[in-house]
This record gives sequence, C-alpha cells and structure tokens, in this order.
Amino acid sequence: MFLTLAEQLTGSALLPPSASANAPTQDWLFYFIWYLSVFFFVLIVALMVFFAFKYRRKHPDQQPTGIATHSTALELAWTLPPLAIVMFFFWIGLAGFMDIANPYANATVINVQSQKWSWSFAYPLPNGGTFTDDQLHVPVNRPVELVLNSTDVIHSLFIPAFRVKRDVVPGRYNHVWFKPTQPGEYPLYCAEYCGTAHSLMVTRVVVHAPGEYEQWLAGASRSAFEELPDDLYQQWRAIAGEADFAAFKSKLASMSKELAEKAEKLKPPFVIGEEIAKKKNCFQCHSIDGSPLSAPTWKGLWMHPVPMETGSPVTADENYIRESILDPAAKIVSGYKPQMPTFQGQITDKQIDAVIAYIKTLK
Amino acid sequence: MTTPLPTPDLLTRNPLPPGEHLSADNYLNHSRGLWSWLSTLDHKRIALMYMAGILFSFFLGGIFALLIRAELFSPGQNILPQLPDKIISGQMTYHPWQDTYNQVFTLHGAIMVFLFIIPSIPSIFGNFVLPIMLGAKDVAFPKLNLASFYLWAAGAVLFIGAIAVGGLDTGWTFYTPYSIKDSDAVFAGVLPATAGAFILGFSSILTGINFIASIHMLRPAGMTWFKMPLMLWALYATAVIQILATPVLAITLLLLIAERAAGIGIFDPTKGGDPVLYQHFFWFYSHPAVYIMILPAMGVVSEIISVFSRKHIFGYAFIAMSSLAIALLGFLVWGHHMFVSGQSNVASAIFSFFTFFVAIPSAVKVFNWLATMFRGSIWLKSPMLYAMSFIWVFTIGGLTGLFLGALATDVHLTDTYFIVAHFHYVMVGGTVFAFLAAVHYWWPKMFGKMYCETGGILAWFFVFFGFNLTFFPQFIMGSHGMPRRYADWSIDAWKARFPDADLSFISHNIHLFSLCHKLSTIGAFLQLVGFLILAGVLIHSLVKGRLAPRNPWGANSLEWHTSSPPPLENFKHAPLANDPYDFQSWHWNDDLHGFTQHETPEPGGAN
Repeated sequence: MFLTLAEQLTGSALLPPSASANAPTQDWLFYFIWYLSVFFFVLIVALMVFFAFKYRRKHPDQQPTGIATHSTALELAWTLPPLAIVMFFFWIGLAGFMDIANPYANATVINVQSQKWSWSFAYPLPNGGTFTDDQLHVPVNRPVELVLNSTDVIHSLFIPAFRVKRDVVPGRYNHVWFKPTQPGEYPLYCAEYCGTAHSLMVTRVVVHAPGEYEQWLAGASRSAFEELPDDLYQQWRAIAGEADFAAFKSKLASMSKELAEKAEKLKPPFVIGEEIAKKKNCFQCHSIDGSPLSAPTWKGLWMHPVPMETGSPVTADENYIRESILDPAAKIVSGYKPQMPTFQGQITDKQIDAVIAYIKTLK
Repeated sequence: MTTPLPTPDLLTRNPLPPGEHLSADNYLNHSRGLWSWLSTLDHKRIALMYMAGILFSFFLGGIFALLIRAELFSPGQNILPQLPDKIISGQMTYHPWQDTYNQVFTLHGAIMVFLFIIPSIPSIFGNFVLPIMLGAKDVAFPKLNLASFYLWAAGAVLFIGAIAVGGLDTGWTFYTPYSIKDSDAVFAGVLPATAGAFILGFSSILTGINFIASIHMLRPAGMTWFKMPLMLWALYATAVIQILATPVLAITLLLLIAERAAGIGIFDPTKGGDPVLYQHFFWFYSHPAVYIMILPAMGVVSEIISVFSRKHIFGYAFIAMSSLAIALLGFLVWGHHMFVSGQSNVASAIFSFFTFFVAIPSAVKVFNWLATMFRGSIWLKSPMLYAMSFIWVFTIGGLTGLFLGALATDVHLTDTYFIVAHFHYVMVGGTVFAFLAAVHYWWPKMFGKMYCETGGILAWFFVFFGFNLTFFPQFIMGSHGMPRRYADWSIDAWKARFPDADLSFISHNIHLFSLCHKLSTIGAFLQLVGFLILAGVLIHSLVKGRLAPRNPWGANSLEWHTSSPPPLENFKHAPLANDPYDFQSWHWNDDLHGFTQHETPEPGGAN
C-alpha cells in the first residue's frame, strides 16, 4: 500500500523496480521511514517558518510574549514517542536484514571472485567442474547463495534491483543470500572504492525464467572447440588464418555428422581468443594498438624479446604467455608494476591456447 | 590589522558607548607586527590565526569540490585531464583520467574533514568566546593553545605536501588493503597525508584539554554548571570526544604507516592480517569525530536562536544533557559504517540499536529550539537566517540518518550517493551553516565592525538554495543505485563489456543519474556565488564597515558585556556571573545602533 501511494505521489518511485523476495520488506521500511520523515520535516519547518512570521520583531526593542523556559512534560512527549518509533525502525530493519544475511536451504551456490576491476562468477556444473563467466546468471524463484572473495582489495557486490550489497574482502569469504523473483536483466555495480576503474567495474545480472537457467548453463559451459577430439583440437589450435579455418571446417563436415554439427558452432582460435580476452577483461590494461596502458601492449608481442625488471630479456613464446596469465608475478616487465591478478582457476588450458592464437595475430 | 580611529563624522553617526575612549585599545591594535601575532598567547589572536588557515583550507577543499561537480556535470570525461605517468621507450605515458578524479575526491574529503570541519567552530569561535563567556582573561593554558595552533599549521603543511607529491587516491578513509598496496614508493601521497592527520590530531586533543580545564577551573563565582551558556556545554562535550577518540585515530594512522613502510602485516591479508580491522579502528574515531563536528554547531545554534527570539532558551537542562548524551553514545555506534563489511550479524544488530538511541538527543534539541521561538520576538538578521537554515538542513540530514541506521534499508543505500547526500546535509548543512551563523553573530565582537546586512542576506540566499539543489537530488540517485566515488556512469563501461548486448536495462538509470548530477552541479556553482558574495561582504566590513557597538544583538552572555573588539585582557573589570539568557536588561539604542543596559557602570549586572 505504501509503495503504490509513493509511486502515485512522487511520480516515479524513489527506488528502482525490485526483483527479489527480500526487497518488499526493505522497501516497505524505506517508504515508512520516508513518510514519517516527510511528516516530521514538514511539521518542524512549518512551525519554524510560522513562528518566524507570526512572532516577527517589528522593532528591535519589541519584547516576546512568551516566558516559559522549560516543561518536563513536553520533554518527555518529544523524547519517548520518537524513541518508540525508532525502535520500531530498528526491529523491522533487523528483520529485513536477516533475509539476506542468513542461509537459505537448497540454495544454488555461485562463487564470486572479484579483482581490480572485473567480476568472475563460477557456476557449479551438474556433472562436476565449474564454468566461469563474467556475468551473474541466476534462476528465478530459487534461492541463490553468493560466496564472495577478492584477490586484491576490498570490493563490494551491489545489485540495486535485489536490494543486496555485501563487501568482497580479500582473505575471507563473505556470503549473501537472495531469491530473485522477476526474470530480466539488472545492473551489478562495485560499491567499494577500489582504484582507477572502480566506476567501470560493472556487470549484468540475468535472471532466467524457470528451466532456462539450466539450459543456459549447459549451452554456455560447452564450447565447441573444447570438445574437439585431441588430434583435431591440435590441428584447430594451429590455424593461423581464415582460409585455413575454412578448410578445417569443411574437412570436419565431411568426417561425420557429429563433427559437422560441431564445425557449425566452431570459430577460428584467434577469434575465440579475442572473445575470451574481452570477457576476462584483459583490454582494461593491455592495448592491442601499441599504446602503453597500465600493462604492456600485445601488439607485436609474439616471439619478441621482452625487457625484464631484473635479468635479461625473455622471448614472448607460448610458455611466457601462459605463465604471465597463471603466475603474473613471476616475471615483471621493465617499467611496469606487479599488479596483474592471477587467472589460475578462472581460465582453462584450451582457453589460454586460444588467447595465444589471438596474440599471434597482433603484429 | 588595526581598527581605524573613528573620524568625527563617524563619531556623530556612531557615538562610542559610554566608558569607551577614543583611542580604544583592543586586542587587535595592542601590539603590532607579524611577530606579535605569531608569538601571541592571546586566545583571541590565536583564534584569528586559526580563522585565516581554516578559511584557506575551506577554499582549497571547495576548489576540489567544484572540480568534482564540474567533472560530473555529464557522463564521460569532462574537464579532468590525464596526469603524466612515466616515460616508456621515449614516449610519455599518462594515467587514466579516472585516476585524476580519484585524487580530486580524496583531497576534497581529506582537506575538508581534517583541515576544515573538525577544527572550525572549536578552534575559531571556541577559542575566541570561551574565555570571555567565562569572564576570564584567557584559557587555562595559553601556551598550550599556541602550540595547538602550530600543530594544526604543521599538519596543514604536510597535507599541502601530500597534494604536491600527488598520488593520494585512497579516499579520505584510507581503507586497506587499497591504501597499503597502491604506491610506487613508501613516501607517495598516503604518507604525508596520514602524517599530517596524525599531527592535526594533537591540535585537537590539546585544544580539548584546554577547554575542559578552562571550564572546570575558570568559571567565576556564581556561574555554576547550569548557569553557563550552552555554547560552553557544547564545547565541553566536544572536548571530551576530542580527548577520548583522537588518540585512537593517531594509533590507527601509525599502524597504517607501519604497514606501508615496514609491512608489519596487521591489515594485509596476504600476511595474515585483517583489512576489516582497519575499518573498526578508523571508525572508532571517525564516528565520534562527526559529533566533534556537530556539537559545537548546535551550541552556536542554541545561542543564536535564543538571542534572536529574545527569549530564554527552552529546556536548558535537556539541551545541556543531550550534548553529553550524544558525546557518550557516539562511541557505541561506529559499526554502522560497516553493516555490509562482513562483520557478524550480532555486531550489526547492536550497532543499529545504539544508532537509533543517539538520534534522539539531537531531535530533543530541535524541538527545544522551536519551543524557544514560540511566542518569542523573532529578529530575522543574518545570524538567525543561518541558524534557522541549520534547523531545516540538519532535520533532513538527521532524518535520512534513520534510513541508514536501519539494517534493511542501509544494505541498499550504503556506498551510494544517498550516503554522500546524508553526510553533506549534516556536515555542510549542519556544521558549515552553523559556522556561517557564528561568523555573522560574533563578527562585530571580533573585529568591531558591522557588515552589510543586505549583502549578508543575499549571500545566504545563494548558499542556502544552492546547497539544497546540490545535495537533495543526490538522495534520489543514491536510492536508485548510483554508487559513490564513481568517476563516471556513462554507457561506455557497459558498451565496452557487452558490445553486442541490448543495454536498455541500464538506460533509464543513466538518464536519471545524469539529470540528478546536472542539478547537483548547478547547485554547487550557485553556492560558489553565495560564498563569493559573502567574502565581498566581509572584506568590505573590515575596510569600510560601520563601527560595532558592544552589543548589536541584545544578547546577555558575558562577551557582550565588553567592548567590540574586546581589550587584550577581555574585560576592564572582572564581570559577575549572570543568566546568559535573560535579555530584559538590554534596550535598543538608536544612536548606537545596538543594545545598551540602563544600569551603569558594572557590566554583567547582579543576578
């Protein structure tokens, strides 16, 4: 009731549309406090302005008409009822908080890894293993638990539509629980200042209609190139141009029906590598056109000698690139800071192969 | 600075009060030369030196504020440049422009909090009026007072150094691990800033000691605790917080420096430390610190509301006790800054509970002020306009605190612009408006000059309207999810990540945020106009202002029983204690353009 009244009176609500089971309690309290605040503000200011006019001094020497200096009854009257009101706020506030601060049974558990400046969500696969993505996908009307960890500084996961926020702290796991109630797409922001690209550390929450979450997970976690049989995979890996790729595809198509289907979904390794780099947020720090950002550029990197902070230059071959992704602190390029986070556990070996294939094309 | 001797023409229009001589010797002209100021032990001169430094800090912090608002006028990069980084392969590289923004908001916050707001009312007006209100010649420890000023100055120099060295982009809160990981060198930005804050803390502590000692020891016979002006209760409660809380900040900053310089591992999770521990230590001081900011402001408002209603303050005892209650309860609520940090639910519940308790004494004050105005004789001069504006904006600031004290609503609102709006309403709307009220109220006493009232009202109008326009829209974008400390909210961040996606889910937000940011920026520049007008009004007053009588406002606390400006030793004859809110003995005198008492010669009167 308060909610609709608010929307009618203010034109558009003071809060964004809500999409989680915990939101109504929080929103109810918000509007309750809002209406009480408006009431008290108007009362106080109206009295103040009214007194200023009604009792205004027309001559500097004009005496006041009132002489009262205290009233214990009044003091109690404006102390105790407000105290009771705010205790009520405390109580409802606590109740609403418990909805997102206590475990739900049978929640879908998603591990969230945050680092400067991107989010990584690890979804458990039905047959074991995890699939990592840069967006948060959740099923509607089922409880979700996010297990939050940071690899560097404190971040904060904020989904306004769900009225949910929790800091993501390095060195510990924080948890938050919610149950989405509306399919759709919603923004997710980082809400704890974390440096340069704090305002760019945003991603999307996708709430799937019933049944579609599993469908999405099955489709997204399977990538055609990762399911190629070993010998074909090694051939695919070595593809260096569009012509070679076209030839590879038609070879596959002629081998078997299964492989023909796979070929349809396949893309060249350097294209996949670029997609992965985008998803993993590599371009926030690495340029591909030679301009120096906070990390070395990828242009012309492949098989070139890279000057090191200490020691002699290293050639940028497959091993170097792989190590840079999984253990970036091992070798620091001269003139740069050791600030790249590790992607250990967030990228598969085959995905690394694809990224290497992409880097090879950046001459 | 000297008060010019009145010319015969000025004398005819403004005859000096009975008992004052032509060659009035006062604290301003008693001795001359820069050294007489720098080595002064006179609390009034120390107050003016603080005033110069603190107003300069406000100006500097204000410049950074205008840079923030100008940058945030519209999405994307606007006026802030990329700062140079280093040369790689013969080419100059630049930091991303967001780094510039991050440094600007950090410096704005740090300068305003540490150099301006915390010292503002106690160090300027507290220093000036506290001894005089006590009928004393000076504070209990004048040399300690001068030392406090030099500590403030040293801290300020280090802050300026931090700006010069650059690289300070942690936010004024210096949260770990970001503040212990980001630098190239140990001595970059964070070190001079934390060292500066450390030294400034001692200025605050020593001032607190001085005020407590003064109030305990220097009250005249007859001035019992419940006969002091409420300004002194406010300063006393503030001093209690300054002494108990500031040392915790000092230790926290030392630990932060040790973490950066020596890697001791107390806050660094890679060494087994706890970054959230830093937040506990930091807010244990910084929450009581906000009461250091607001209690003196409320003391000023109590004085002004009573004087300009010409009516005894209503509920004296409750207002006095509420100051102490706020000071003590304020130590129990620091965790309300950390509801989403991952602290235990029990801790969050306890902090929320006490947060609501500390809200009540402030409300009690507001109701007592209204009761004071009821059936008063309301004189709408500049000090009163600012005091009434305080009630307007502090009510909004305080009420929005209720949303934040409740756990369920705080989860959504914390770390958004709702918080930014809330604390600006209480800190700027509260402390700054009361500061301006104090400036207008005590200016004639401090400098012996009146200011142009019309100019004062014009400045007030721009400041008040501009302030509300700046910060009210921020509540709305905050509750809609606009996070704080964001350099940008444009569609670019989304397009970069999801180039092929349909971004309609975000476009409504971006439009709303853009509208609110525009209004906010316009408000900020309206405030600038107001402050420029005010600066003009005050400078004009010093140069060409009408001479001030001893009591232009008809007040009765003891500072109005001596000349404007006061003599070096504050009073020619030690005054007797009185009821500071009994205005009956003062009457308007047209020639003096001020109030005089009919009885002569003893100032103060029997009570």
